Amino acid sequence: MASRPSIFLLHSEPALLQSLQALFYRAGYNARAYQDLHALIRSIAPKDIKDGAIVANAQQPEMQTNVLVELLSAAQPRLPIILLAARSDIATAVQALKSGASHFIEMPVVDRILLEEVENAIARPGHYA
Amino acid sequence: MTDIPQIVYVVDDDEAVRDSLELLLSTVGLNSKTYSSALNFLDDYAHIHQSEQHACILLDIRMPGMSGIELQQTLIERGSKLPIIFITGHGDIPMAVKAIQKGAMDFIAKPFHDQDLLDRIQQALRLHAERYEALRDSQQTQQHLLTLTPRESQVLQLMLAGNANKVIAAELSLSQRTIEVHRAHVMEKMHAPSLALLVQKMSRLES
Repeated sequence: MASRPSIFLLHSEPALLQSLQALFYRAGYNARAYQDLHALIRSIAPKDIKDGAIVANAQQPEMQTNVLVELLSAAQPRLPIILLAARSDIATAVQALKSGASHFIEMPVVDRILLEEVENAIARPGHYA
Repeated sequence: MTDIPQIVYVVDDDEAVRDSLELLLSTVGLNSKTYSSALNFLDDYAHIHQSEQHACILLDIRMPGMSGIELQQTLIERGSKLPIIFITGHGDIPMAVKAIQKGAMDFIAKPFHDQDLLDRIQQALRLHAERYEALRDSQQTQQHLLTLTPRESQVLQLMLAGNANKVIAAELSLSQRTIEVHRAHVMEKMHAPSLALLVQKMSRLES
């Protein structure tokens, strides 16, 4: 059974989460959706996970973006982290990348672009700065 | 490495900005050199590249002629190890993300706090010092490798794979005593006081 790369999705808005899940599912990924950060962290922790990506809303309640990135990469260092954010700023984006995120994408974003960027991040994982 | 001088290169087309950055840097005792365009900086690059100073670049994004982003690209192509801190009054998130993904050390939007900028400059200078030392160490290791005889290189490879002298001796059909001698020569020529340090030197060659 060929395993498809997993996309772990995190967003607090159910409608958005659902449409992201549908988008990645259609694109051939094993798309798994989470509204709760801690549920996501439990799912990404297993050691056998290596192919895929985390796509998360950068804006988590009462948590700075760089802390979010550090939590996620501590839980699973092998998965690239792609953050999504509406109404964010340069300092937050830069901080997120410096903390180890692969990408920081402003919402709304065109489906095709999002898929491309996630695909790129999976193809060349790695940390910047 | 405080004995190596430090310098901050400022590339900005706005004279007032250049002057104020120069002044800010001088208040904390940092040397700087300013350029009014990316091309002026590139003209000086051969000289900069050879200077043995720990340095970083404060780079404006929007400039007539060559932009800061284009200068970053050119420096990447030339294999520059200088950390870049972008400063911009007109940047956006995609631009910042791209600059960092391409290796910029930082991207700061105006207005910024002086102390914040100075902290990042200190980080950049430290990073450059680390890169500089890593490069120098790996060049030295390369040089040391060249002094090994073919037989010593074989022994080195087998040592790095974690083999005991007995195993290496069997592998190369030599006596254990001979391997001990080769091994001692390898350690001496590689300037490695221990096997652990030898492994470390060799692993840093790859990166």
